[in-house]
Amino acid sequence: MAPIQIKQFLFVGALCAGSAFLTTACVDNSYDLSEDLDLTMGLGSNGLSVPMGNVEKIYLNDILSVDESVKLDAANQYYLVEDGTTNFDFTIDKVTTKVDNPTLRTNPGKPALPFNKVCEILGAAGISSITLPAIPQVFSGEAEGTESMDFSVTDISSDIKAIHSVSFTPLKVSLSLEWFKSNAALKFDLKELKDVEITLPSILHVVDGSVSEGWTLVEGHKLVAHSVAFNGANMKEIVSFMIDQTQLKDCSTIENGKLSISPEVLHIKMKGGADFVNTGSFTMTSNDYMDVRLHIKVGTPGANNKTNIVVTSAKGVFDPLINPDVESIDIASELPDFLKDPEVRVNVSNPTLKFNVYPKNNVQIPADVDFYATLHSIKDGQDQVSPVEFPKYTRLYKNTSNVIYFYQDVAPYDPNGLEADAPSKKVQTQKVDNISSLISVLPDRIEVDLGANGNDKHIRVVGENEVALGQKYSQVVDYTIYVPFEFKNGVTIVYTDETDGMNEDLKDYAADGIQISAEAENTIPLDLKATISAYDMYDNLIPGIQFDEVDVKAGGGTDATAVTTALTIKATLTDPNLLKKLDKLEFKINAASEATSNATHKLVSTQYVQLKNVKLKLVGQIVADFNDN
Amino acid sequence: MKNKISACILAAALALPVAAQELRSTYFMQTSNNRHEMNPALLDSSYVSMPLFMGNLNIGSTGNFGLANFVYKMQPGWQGYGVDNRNLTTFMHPSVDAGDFLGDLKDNNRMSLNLKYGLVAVAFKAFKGTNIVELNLRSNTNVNLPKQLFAFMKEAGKNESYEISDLGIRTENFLEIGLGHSHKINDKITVGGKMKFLLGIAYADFSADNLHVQMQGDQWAISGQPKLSAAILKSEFTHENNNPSGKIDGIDDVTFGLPGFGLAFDLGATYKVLDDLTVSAAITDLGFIKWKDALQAAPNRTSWTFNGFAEDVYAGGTNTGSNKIGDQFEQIGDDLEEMLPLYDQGKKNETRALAATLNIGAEYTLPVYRPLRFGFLYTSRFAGKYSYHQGMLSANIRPVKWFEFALNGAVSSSGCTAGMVIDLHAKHFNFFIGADRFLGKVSKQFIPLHNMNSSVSLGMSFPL
Repeated sequence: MAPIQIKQFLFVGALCAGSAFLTTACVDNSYDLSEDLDLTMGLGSNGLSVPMGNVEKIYLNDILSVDESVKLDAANQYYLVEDGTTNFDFTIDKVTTKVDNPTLRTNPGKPALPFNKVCEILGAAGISSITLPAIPQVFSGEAEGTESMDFSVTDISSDIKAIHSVSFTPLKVSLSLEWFKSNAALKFDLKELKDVEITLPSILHVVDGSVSEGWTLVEGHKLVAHSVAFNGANMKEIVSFMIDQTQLKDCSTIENGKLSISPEVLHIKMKGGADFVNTGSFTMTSNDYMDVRLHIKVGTPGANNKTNIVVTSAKGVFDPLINPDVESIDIASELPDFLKDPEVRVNVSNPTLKFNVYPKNNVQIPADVDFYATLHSIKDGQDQVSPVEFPKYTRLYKNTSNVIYFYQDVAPYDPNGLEADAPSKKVQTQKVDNISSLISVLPDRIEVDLGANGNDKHIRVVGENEVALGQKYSQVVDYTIYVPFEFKNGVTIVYTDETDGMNEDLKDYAADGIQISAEAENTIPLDLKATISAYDMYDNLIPGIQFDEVDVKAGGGTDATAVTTALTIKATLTDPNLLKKLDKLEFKINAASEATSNATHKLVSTQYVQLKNVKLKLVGQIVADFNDN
Repeated sequence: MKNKISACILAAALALPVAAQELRSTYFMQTSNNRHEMNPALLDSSYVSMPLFMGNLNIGSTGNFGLANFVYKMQPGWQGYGVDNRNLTTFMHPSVDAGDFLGDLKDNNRMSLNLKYGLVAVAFKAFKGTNIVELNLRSNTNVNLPKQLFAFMKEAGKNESYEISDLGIRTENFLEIGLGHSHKINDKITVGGKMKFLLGIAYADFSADNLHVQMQGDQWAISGQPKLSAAILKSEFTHENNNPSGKIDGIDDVTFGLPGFGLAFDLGATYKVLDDLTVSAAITDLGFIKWKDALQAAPNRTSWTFNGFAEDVYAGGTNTGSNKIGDQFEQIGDDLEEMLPLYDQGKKNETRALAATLNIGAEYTLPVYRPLRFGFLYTSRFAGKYSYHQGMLSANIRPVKWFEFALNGAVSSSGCTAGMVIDLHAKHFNFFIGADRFLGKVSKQFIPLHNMNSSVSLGMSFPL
């Protein structure tokens, strides 16, 4: 080839090559930056560890909220409290009481001043008649007689077993002496009674100071007067007094609603000298005599010459039927959430049942009442354990309020402080061994049986008591069960909590898993077992997100006895994209006391659990979607 | 939208039409009027360049990474593939294998963007040699991104510590008034020199040395010494909340001014060893530029340690308003933000050496075909962490008087390149177009995919 041709060839070739190289580069149109870049990014890598420091102390106070049922006492110890109330009453029906108004006559055949007495005084004997001179002269005779005062008590109800005394509105008893002659021709006047002794029925109680002047009450039932003058009156009230009570103890029995009184206690006797004076001359024969009679008048006699007595009270032995309808102690409906789970067990050391018995309407019961309670732990309509029977019996003392503690351990538990005796309050304590069995599995309710079952009465009036008949006596019984969270073993509470609203932050992320390591410092004397479940926005469980169970050892109850447990919690996702669905984490913490512990522990609001030295470690990457979707 | 903005920023950084300093492919070209840029002894003809427009435009970049190192084509099955027509993603995508990504990076990932814009040049014979008066606009921007930085971003947590050294970005922009002279000593030796007065327009240098990130189970720690110097026309830092003691949030109050002044020299020589063998050597940009009242900024603390949240994390107890876990993570971010920003450290005059360049060449004319010449050129730019080295083998052919063509291949610190120049030379007209580094595979927006080696130069001059 000629040189010029070579040159031309080289020139054209260079020109073409240069043009090609200069003007064309290899354009990859698939790299088009006018389109959006996908901003899905993998952040971190397997093993990326974030030191997070400490989580704040989670106090029991933050977990277990106090409310009407769960409270804190002065030492910040938790206790469960439920209560109920009832009242019982009884009435001893009124009785019908009447008393006779008898007339006491001298003993038969022994008038006050017989013929032979007159002859004796005049010094005559063996004659059949005697003429008395006109000169007045005193002829002293003797009057003695006995009569019975009928005191009846009827309409006695079966509640009354014995009447020992009956008190009534004070009644005036008036004794009036009447003298009379066998023959109108006898000209005698009663001048004076001397050394009169009237023995009243022993059942009558004379009101002190009520005996009329000139008379003396001796030995409680003898009226004695040295002289009672009669100044021409044919009949005269010689003495009056007030009675307010009849004593019937050991001298009466009740039969068929009627009181039978021993006759000897109903006698009224009179004895005394009667001085007659002749007022003129007259002849007295052997059949003639002068006599007296004593009219007894009690109150205002009514029909049949009987006086109705208004009984104010009666002392005796009463046994009314007391069968209250007792409101049960509602447990289930008032429980806080952490006690509702079926796994909950409350086998505490010292549950205490407090009875506070006080009169309704400020009317004290004037009677001692014995009671005992039978407690039933009811779940699903039936006893879930054997009923707990309190010791027979505990006494409710009369005329005072009563507080009784039934407890299980060393001493009763009362978060408000144990009550003490006071002038109008009597406090008792009673140990009962197995109260905790009632609430080991928290029941729906506790039924308190105070009723009567045939002859077995939970509440009965005992002893001798004085009651107002017809009066309704009511007692309010407030019962409260305190369950302090103090235990050796056998306590399980289940606390559930949840966090939600996480989806808003997580919906753009995916992850294989995460591992959290920490040291759990625990002062709560319960082993804590936590399970975590993941839910989506529609409350559906996400089974593909799994969390390791967390176990934290129980602490000793105080800051000084805290127990530290090393924890590693791993969360794994079967599909990293499940993280985008996560909206809620539900924590279920089963807190249980050690099964074999013999030490006593308390749950106190200041106990805490704290996660320390928390480190968060990635398992795989976190994939974040930063695109504007 | 933000995806596009991010992409544009990345693309702009990667494809900024910056000029190569000189078109080294013309070093051995007889028709080139611009060889004196590399060796003042090669100034051998009179000419006038096209003033202001296309007199001598050099734009180029070098770099050992490309767009494809950071932007990946998505594959079917990748999360987000095809969603909203997206098929490109960043290196942070979980399906981008960390080993592949980091394996394609160098220990130091460098990029250099250069512009030289000849505003006017007049070369003339006088003083027993050839002289030149020229005015050029020059801009050099250099970026160094250590691999450890990307290892930390991609695989944070895989290692316990990351040493990120020599992270930096620097830009210098100035006007250059050059006065050059070449002089033939004898038949064999020609020497040349150029004195250049430099008028600084804008300068900024950000560096973070010894950035140490430690991520152990008990503690995270970051320490480092970032700093910033800047002189941009005449300007001032702006501060957060207008508080002079607050962190810097921008530069404002920009008024016309030339904050820099410098002087540089080019020195060169050629020696004809044999008729067909000529060796040459030159050192250019030997000088300095002084930036007056350069704004200085540095953080107010050089270390940050995190070994757990400052407050115990809220867990349902006492909410202090700042102890929830989200708040505390935010606080970490705030603390980091407080550590990283820069605070005004006042002003300081800064004198900086220019990146001197050494060119050593050897040219051989093929005796059997004299229009064909081969040359070897070694270039070394001394610029600290932004240094650059290249060895170029060139073939130049001038089959006719008015046409010369050069083709070369080079191995450099940014990889292998190939270049070419075409020069059309008439008696009073000269036009050249060429590239030291052909564009390789590029994106649709002409952003280099595999390395940043690219350049284009063209110019028009009028030989006298």
